[in-house]
Amino acid sequence: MNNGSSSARGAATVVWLCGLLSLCILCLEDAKAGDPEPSAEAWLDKVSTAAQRVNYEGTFVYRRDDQLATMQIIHVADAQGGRERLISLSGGRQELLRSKEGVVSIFSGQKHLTFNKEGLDKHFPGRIAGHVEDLEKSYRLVLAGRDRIAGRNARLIVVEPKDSYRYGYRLWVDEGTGLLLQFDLVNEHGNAIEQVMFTSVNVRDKATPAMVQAVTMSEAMQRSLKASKQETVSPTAMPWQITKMPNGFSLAEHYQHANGKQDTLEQVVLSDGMATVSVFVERLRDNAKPFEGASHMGAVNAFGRVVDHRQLTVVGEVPAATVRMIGHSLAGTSLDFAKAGQ
Amino acid sequence: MAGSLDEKVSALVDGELPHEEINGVFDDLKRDKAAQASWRHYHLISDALKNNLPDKLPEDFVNRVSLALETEPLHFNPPRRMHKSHNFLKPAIGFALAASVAGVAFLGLGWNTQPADQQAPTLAANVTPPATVNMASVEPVSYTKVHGRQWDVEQPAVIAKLDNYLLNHDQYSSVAGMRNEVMPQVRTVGYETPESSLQDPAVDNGR
Repeated sequence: MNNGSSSARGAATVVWLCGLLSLCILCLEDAKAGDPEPSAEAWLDKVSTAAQRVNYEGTFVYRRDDQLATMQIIHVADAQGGRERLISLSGGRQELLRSKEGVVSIFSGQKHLTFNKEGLDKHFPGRIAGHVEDLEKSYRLVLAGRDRIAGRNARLIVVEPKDSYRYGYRLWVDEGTGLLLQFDLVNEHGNAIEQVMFTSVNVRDKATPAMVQAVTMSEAMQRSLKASKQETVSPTAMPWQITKMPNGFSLAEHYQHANGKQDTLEQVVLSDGMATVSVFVERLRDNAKPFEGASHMGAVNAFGRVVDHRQLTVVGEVPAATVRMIGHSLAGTSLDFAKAGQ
Repeated sequence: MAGSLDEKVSALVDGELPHEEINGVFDDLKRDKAAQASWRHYHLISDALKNNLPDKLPEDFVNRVSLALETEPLHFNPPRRMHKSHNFLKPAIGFALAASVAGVAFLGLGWNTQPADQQAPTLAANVTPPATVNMASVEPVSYTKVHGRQWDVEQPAVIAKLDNYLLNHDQYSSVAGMRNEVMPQVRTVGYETPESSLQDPAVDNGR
């Protein structure tokens, strides 16, 4: 009996020790997994892929200057970057549906505008956006601690500009999902000039049927999108050259929008991976008021010139000096944008 | 003090009306329904400014107040005692702001939001504009959607042009930068797309 009970005790001890050992191993593995701390770059990578991975619905506030707007968002993830619906909860009623096919803005529940973007992306070999390594030409990425936004644990990533031709950014990234919970656009004095912040967000393992329905475009919208297909094209050349732009910026996109029966509105989008600047060129109609000089609205600066009966306008959420530099550098008829940034 | 009755009511609420004019304004208030409405609204605004309003108002609050005001006699102090009553005249921080806030609220209603038929009823919607607002500049026909925070240029045609550019910038640069990748089109939805863009041939105007 004694022998039997002592061997039972021995077995129990072994089981207990095994348990303790595996616990220790688990702890060690855990420590290994949590170390090293992901870099700011890794967090930004996580942010840029979150749209393909995370289903969520939530409410956020958007602040520009001293104005606030509240919005609801429903996002359903897919490999194409997700489908989503934005609904303004304050001010005028407006909604927006977005997917890889394009964007539909809905006004007062009826009228809608469509922006067909199908097939445009692939025409831009020059697209640089979303690649974190490109950001580092123009910005320093700093991991700046932990915070809590909308009840969720967040990492604060500070994106500091290396020169005065762009604004800085503060990004609060959800530790669990990589979702961007707060976004500050910061001027040279360190003040936030544009902010987006979630006040509540629900992350779902799987999109609910109601969410899927909310992000699905109606047949009428899809018809409008298809019908607007020819309105905007991706031309291979543009008769204008940007001869000077701040380091780090390069051509990201080029569109030609129909503008009346014969005219076109050329749009070139430049990006440094974070900020975007659009250059617009169109014929100045006979009675049209020209826009010459500088203007701004919130963080967005604009600079206009009229050359040869053409209205040239540079618009972007960058400092005034940047749109001014690019605006002054626009010149005559070259097709080579590749050299423009050099 | 020169100025309209409304201006005087505002000054009275702010404690800035000269003593010698107070009796006259109270006489006018007894007769003039619009002035009474201004009186109520200026007090409501100053209460809101001073955080004197409860966190949550009962749903029928406005109706109850209106009903009470309709049915109850006005309890103004007899004019002869007014110069002794310092309750109304006590200067208070924030009081002087009441009239200017009413102006902002009115302009906010007129310039920043949808036409009235699409507007949910708000406190601001009921605020009587103070007479200092130049009425010529706020005629209903001139209510232009400039999505509030307009460009610092004066010509409407140029504003429309810049709005259109910004719309295209926001919509079409959504793949260009990480900023847009993570928070696309927020600017456009947060602030109404300019009406001018509805006529913009660059986009399809669906119906």
